[in-house]
Amino acid sequence: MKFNTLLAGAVSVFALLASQTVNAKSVTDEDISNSAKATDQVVTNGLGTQGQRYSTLDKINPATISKLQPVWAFSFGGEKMRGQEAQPLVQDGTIYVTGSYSRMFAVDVHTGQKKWQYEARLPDDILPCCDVVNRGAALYDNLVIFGTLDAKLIALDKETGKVVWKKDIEDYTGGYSYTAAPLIVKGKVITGVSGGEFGIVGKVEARDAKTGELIWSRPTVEGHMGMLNGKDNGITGVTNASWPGDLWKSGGAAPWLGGTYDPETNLIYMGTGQPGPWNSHIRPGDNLYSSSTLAIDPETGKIVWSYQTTPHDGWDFDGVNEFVSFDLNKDGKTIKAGATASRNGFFFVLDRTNGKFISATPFVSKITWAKGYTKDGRPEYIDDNRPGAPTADGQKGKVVFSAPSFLGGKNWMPMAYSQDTKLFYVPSNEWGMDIWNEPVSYKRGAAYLGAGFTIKPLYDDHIGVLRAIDPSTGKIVWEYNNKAPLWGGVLATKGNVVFTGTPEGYLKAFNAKTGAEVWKFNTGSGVVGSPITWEENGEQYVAVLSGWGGAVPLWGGEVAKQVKDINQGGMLWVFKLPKS
Amino acid sequence: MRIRIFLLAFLLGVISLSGAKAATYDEIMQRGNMVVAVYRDFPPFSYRQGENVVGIDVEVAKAVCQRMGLKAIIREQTAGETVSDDLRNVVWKGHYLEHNTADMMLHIPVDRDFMLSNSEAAIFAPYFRDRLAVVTDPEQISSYQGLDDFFDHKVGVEMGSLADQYLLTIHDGKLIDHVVHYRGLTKAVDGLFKKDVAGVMGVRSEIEGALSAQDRKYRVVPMTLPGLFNGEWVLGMAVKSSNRQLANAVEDVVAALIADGTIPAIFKSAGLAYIPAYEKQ
Repeated sequence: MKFNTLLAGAVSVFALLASQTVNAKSVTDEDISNSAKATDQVVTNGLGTQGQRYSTLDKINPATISKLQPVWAFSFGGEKMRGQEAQPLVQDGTIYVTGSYSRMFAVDVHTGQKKWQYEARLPDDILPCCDVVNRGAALYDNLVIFGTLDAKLIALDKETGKVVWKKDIEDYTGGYSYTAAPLIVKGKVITGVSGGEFGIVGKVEARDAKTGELIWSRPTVEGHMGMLNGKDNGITGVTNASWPGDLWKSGGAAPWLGGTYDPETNLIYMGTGQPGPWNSHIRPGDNLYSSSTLAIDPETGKIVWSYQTTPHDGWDFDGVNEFVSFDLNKDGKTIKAGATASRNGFFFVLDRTNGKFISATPFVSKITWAKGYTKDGRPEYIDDNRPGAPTADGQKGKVVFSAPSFLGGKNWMPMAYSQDTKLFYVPSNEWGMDIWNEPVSYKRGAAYLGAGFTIKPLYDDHIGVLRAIDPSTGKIVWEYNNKAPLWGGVLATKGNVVFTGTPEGYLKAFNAKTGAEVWKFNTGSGVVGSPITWEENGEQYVAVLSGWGGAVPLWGGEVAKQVKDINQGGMLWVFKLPKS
Repeated sequence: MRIRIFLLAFLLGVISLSGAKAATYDEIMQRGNMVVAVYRDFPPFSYRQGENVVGIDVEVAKAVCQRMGLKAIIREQTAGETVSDDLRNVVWKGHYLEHNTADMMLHIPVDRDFMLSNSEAAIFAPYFRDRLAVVTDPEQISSYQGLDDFFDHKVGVEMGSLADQYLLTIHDGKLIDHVVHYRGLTKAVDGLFKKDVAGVMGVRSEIEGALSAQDRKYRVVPMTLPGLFNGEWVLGMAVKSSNRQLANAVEDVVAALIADGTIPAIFKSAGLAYIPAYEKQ
């Protein structure tokens, strides 16, 4: 018997070497369509392309969770630590996960043994603005696809880690970068692009996932020409309709966080960043399509509808935050809705078939820039609290306090939606910022007009708040306060449990209905990634990255005091609830 | 926006990391070379000509090192959102992507307020003066009288520059439709040559360098910002603040190189007028 097994093993190893890619289980369109329901694998960012981050697994629940225990932990190694913001993927016995500095790891799901590791060679003249994070990969066919800090999209053979194709999303020397998890929609890989500098123009693009060949490109600023199959495909919006002069040519609106896809409406939902330049007084108008959610046709790249969360943004309130599809029960009707918790402090619910505004309710305790939204979905600005135009009079100028801060009521970290409680679980932060005109600033050896900013917590005892929000009323059902700012994603499960991480190092679990903390485990460094759950051999697993970083520790002011003693890291933690 | 904020926040921050260890004056003299940072892709001061980094700042760095008996190792640095970022990334802390710092950086403003808010760096050795200026195409504007001329013409600026910010705001924004944005002053001056614009507003030295590179003799007029600051500033060098001994040594050398005409000659051979940091009144 033993001899037989050995022999069989030897034969199969031989077969594996002969046709490795054939034996490996590839990721199909069906796998991706089913990714919100399948419990034996996690093949999409967001646990389903709608981005609900909800699992139907229920073995881990408030009654059993005290037995949840670590199985193994895997170190990313090297000297490269910093923020680990990725969500792991699980498929065919392997966990695929990206690390800081544009690295990718494939790890055996049972043993924690590394299968392969890929490190992108980064050029020495890149200057990333906001840490060196990567937010995850996409799986398709025999490929695992991720983007790099120098704005390249790389597809690796998921069995070997060898490069299959590599494409430039943009020219990094122009200030572009890439950190989001790519999205797979019907054989296409959909990407946005990052760029912090004035002068960039955002765009959403679709490539053939198997070859990397560009299919369509859709600029996110009005006036720019789109492309489909190498041909012009109409300009975005109407040139100069909402921008003065030639500022649309450099309008910003980078969709740097990627997007979600809803198969029911067949629409891609992409959030866009702030407009440039930052001084809003010199660009009167709505500045479309900055700080917006765009619904895009996956076949053609045409914008089907748009909704602007912050028209004429003067606070750096990106509209990039994820738009999550869900069924809204309101007044006895079920509406195909979507929700986004914006940097600007409001929680938006829209009709996801046409972008029609349903509601906008505050999800943080203090908002200074607007009183609320009209029935038509326009903000009611408080004009006195718009940051002033910089002047060259050599004075520091008036200090304006603005809340939320530019880091947002919620930043990049994805929320979750529970199909059981019908609540959204939103990782939020309570902070504002002082803004003033700098008397003198310099840029590359020349004077210019700059502004100064510093972030301040609103409360002494906490910044982070995990909130359960009822999307039908906007009411906050429960809150969990955390001392440091929350910067990690959320996971909800049928087991009535909500998971999220804290900068203090904990992966925490809460009762989804009551908000009572039911479990925690310290991972050794801050948790700013997004947790996942799946099932192996009848046991429910949970995985999350540990590794403090991202934008928060790069900031000074009062916020830095709360996080300066947190050590960096780079570790993949895997937990399970044992059968007995 | 993100970059700028990040920078400023850093300056204001409580993150009091000591940063990368800088080589002392004695260590530099003993090893026989000095790593001098210059801006990447920044004509006429530091730019690529084939494989070589050339330009006024490169020549100044080499002259300083030669006078000190050192070999100059030129390091190109991508400009951050502000010079304060550059000082942090290059001089006193190092960028988190590559933590090593340079021994010295050129083209740093010598300005009292700026120095006070960047105390981690020692800023010294002012070696020239720069300012805002306007260049016009004589065939389009026969005799330039002032900014009001641009109500009838287009004016080119570098995106995000002081000239850009200024022209978009004056006259309550009425010039906005006449302002054409370029990625860099060299491209703006190319637009002038192609008559896409009738004038360019920007930094005098960069305009003169772009004109000189194409051997054009357009008139460059100093630009004052009416009612505002005078549009002039002085450029010097920076080292980590713990390295004042190096600063003192370099300062003496730079003074000598200006007095004996070496540095003025470097500017003149690049086709620029040399404007000393401080005129003798």
